[in-house]
Amino acid sequence: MIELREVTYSYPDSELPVLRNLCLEVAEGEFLLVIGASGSGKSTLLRCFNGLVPHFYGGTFGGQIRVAGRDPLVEGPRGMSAAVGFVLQDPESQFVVDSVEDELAFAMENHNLEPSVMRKRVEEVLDQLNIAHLRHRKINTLSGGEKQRVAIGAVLSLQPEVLVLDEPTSQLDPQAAEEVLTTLQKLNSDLGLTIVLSEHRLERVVQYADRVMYLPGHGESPLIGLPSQVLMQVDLVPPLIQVAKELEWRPLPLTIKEGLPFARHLSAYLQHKQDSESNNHSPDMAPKAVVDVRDVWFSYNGHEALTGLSLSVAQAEFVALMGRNGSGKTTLLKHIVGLLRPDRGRVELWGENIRGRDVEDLASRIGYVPQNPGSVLFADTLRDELDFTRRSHGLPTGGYDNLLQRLHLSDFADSYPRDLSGGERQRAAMAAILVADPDVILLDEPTRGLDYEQKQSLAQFLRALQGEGKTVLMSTHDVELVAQCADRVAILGEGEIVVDGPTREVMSNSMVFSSQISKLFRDNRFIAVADVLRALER
Amino acid sequence: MYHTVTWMLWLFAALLPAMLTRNPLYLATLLLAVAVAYNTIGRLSPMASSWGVFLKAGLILATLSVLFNLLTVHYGDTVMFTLPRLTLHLGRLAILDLGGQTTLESLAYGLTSGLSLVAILLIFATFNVLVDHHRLLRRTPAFLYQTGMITSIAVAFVPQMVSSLQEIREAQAIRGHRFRGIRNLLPLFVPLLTTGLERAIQLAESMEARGFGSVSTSRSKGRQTLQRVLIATALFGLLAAAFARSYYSSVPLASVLLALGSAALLVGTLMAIGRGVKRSRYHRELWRRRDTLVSIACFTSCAITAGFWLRNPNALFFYPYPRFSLPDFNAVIGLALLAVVTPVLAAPKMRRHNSD
Repeated sequence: MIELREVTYSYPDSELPVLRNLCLEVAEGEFLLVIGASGSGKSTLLRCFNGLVPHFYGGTFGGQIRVAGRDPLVEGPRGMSAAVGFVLQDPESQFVVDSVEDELAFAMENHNLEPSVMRKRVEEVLDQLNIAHLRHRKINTLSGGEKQRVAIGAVLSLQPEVLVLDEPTSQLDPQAAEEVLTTLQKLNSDLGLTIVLSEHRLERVVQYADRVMYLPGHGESPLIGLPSQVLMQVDLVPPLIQVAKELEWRPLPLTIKEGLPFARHLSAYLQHKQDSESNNHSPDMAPKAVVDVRDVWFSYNGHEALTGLSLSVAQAEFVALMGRNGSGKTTLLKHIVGLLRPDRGRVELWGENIRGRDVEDLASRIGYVPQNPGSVLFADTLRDELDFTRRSHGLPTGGYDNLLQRLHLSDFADSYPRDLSGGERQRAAMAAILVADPDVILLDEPTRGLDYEQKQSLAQFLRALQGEGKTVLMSTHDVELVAQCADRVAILGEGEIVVDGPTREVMSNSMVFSSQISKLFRDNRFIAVADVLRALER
Repeated sequence: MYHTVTWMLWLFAALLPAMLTRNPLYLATLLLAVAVAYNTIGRLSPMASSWGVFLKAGLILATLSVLFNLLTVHYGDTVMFTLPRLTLHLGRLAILDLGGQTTLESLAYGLTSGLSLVAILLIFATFNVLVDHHRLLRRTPAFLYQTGMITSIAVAFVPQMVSSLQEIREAQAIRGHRFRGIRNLLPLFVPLLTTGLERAIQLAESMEARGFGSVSTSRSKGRQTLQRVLIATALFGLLAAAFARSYYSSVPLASVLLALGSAALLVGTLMAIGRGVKRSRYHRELWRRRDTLVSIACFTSCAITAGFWLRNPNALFFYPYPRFSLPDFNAVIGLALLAVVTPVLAAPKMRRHNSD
């Protein structure tokens, strides 16, 4: 179905090729998962299949491609559109018209299909993707998962032979991502549609994939093979596989189900070993609350976002806020930094009500890193960006070399922040906030689009900040990150706190908000890979 | 919901009297009818929030119209009160004459003009709320479709820009940034521009990957250049004609010919380009019985209004000068105007549909 021979490509203003002498064959009906660190060329590779690379981006291209018997180099993205369906990462920016049904028809209209054919195909697509109930809805009223399914439908209506998706779930919360991925799996197994998917969160898709392709980046040659073979040789793996590799579980378990027998065995062993050890819990002292949210109510546009929410966070505590999209996590964070003011109730910082205090004023002691780093960065260099924050707070410029080093940004101090890759940008935005040295750090969804390695180093960085006495409050969907670094989890639902407790307890008692390791052992001593390895070392 | 063609007829039936009449009683009737139509069915639309904006704009314009007439027009026999007079001179020419005798007639005239402005704005506002824009776009001739499509996408960007502006403003505020002058706008403007650009590139990719764009015309470079030159010439011709019209008080025949010729050239070229783009249109609209009813009502209303106007254009007009008298009211025209309310017939059904 897809055949690449000796493909080499470099972007217009770069010397280094992103892809070098790449060869790949994908059979009809195959589900290929493409993995690799951010910036390793996954998106570039996927864009070769329909000719967006090099037609849309320019640059120099060498080698041959055949997709569904056509040559994307000759036909270009428009010519390839009937053979290759292409779905982008961001559900917000790939819609042309405002209603679902019209969006499904858009591609067919471009191809001048008969109205009767269009009618039939729209019905088919609505059923295939289980979105018939959305047909009359306006796109902007849909949830992220629904949007991505409509985006898939919008390309399926041309009945392509290959479906190519560039990190379709990286902007979605776990439930929405699940919706999209099960849809893909169904399309692949029921219709035999060839699917090429790039994805960071392997734990959700690796069981569906027939083969995995790992791109190491810098034009190095990729690894292609069965999932278990490739994952054995790759460092970017989910916690389950990390543990399995460490402990040499063979055959390599890809799902929790496959890992359970190994885990049972290990638990029994550890039980035996640790019986003698006592549980040394640090005695609970009652430290002073730094952030104290008391019975806060807030609604906008008639929608009740917070309904009598109370939360108290102590000095040097690390709290993760979890919960569905729209459960009020971001609204809560914005209340703490004063961007939103409660309709009722109060927010206290260091025992003082913040009513009437300026955001700009509060911001010198509270750093809030928003979800989208693009809304922060504007300066010509990262250095200017950091100086700007320092000046705004009336601090002397400079003096942040250490911070840059800790965030692995030293090399980029003089580069244009918007040119950085996704993960680097995220860290640059974080640096731009943290450079004011706030005591409380609020993070809104800091792991969107990050790969395992970047998440790992983010977790370490945040832990280190906490070690220095900073208070961290983070809203996230990422249970693995929470398992690695948060002490306490507060789960929000419908504007209230539903569960609030130590991470270990919450994770071992929950089915949804639970890390892979926690699901594997169902034991509150083990929620992250490090826990398991530490227990074995003793 | 109604068929797009029904809405187009409705727009015509509402606009025709709004344009033709200057009688405040007819205008008030029309306004009331439009407001009822919006209130019963327009409110259900997701676009409903835009109506208020139109209403506010209309009221501001109407107030301005009343004030302007009251202060600058001194005709009319019924003097209500006398204000101190202020005359601005430019050389020997009096260019502005404010205050002085304020007449009831000028108030009536100002109110009527204001009413007509509000009516026209609200008719468009209601149409805007009720009609499905993309379906409307599909009704446009092929050669306009591409341009219309791109315009509609550009318009759709505006709300996105507004929401990202809010996000950016917050992000800069929490860095301690205070906005004091023009230079301080840079941290707002740059992210807004770059975010918008990134979004535009993604959208372009997505559209290209779904086969949008003219395939056949892009083949020959020479033809493309010719088309561009022709469009530029036509636009220049139109501009020159418009300029001539505003410059000379009497419209010279040459400029009329130029305008017509340029317009024909523009349409012709666009049609030639449009012929290169082969694309079909997805229609899935039902023509229900209520569409027939509303259409008949709108059509009859247009016929009655036009009939009255053709027989005697002054029948629809109300001129308060020199002495104020109450405007006439013809019950037949009044009834005809109520055709604008007929879409309300289907309100119960639509409400049920919306609550699904």
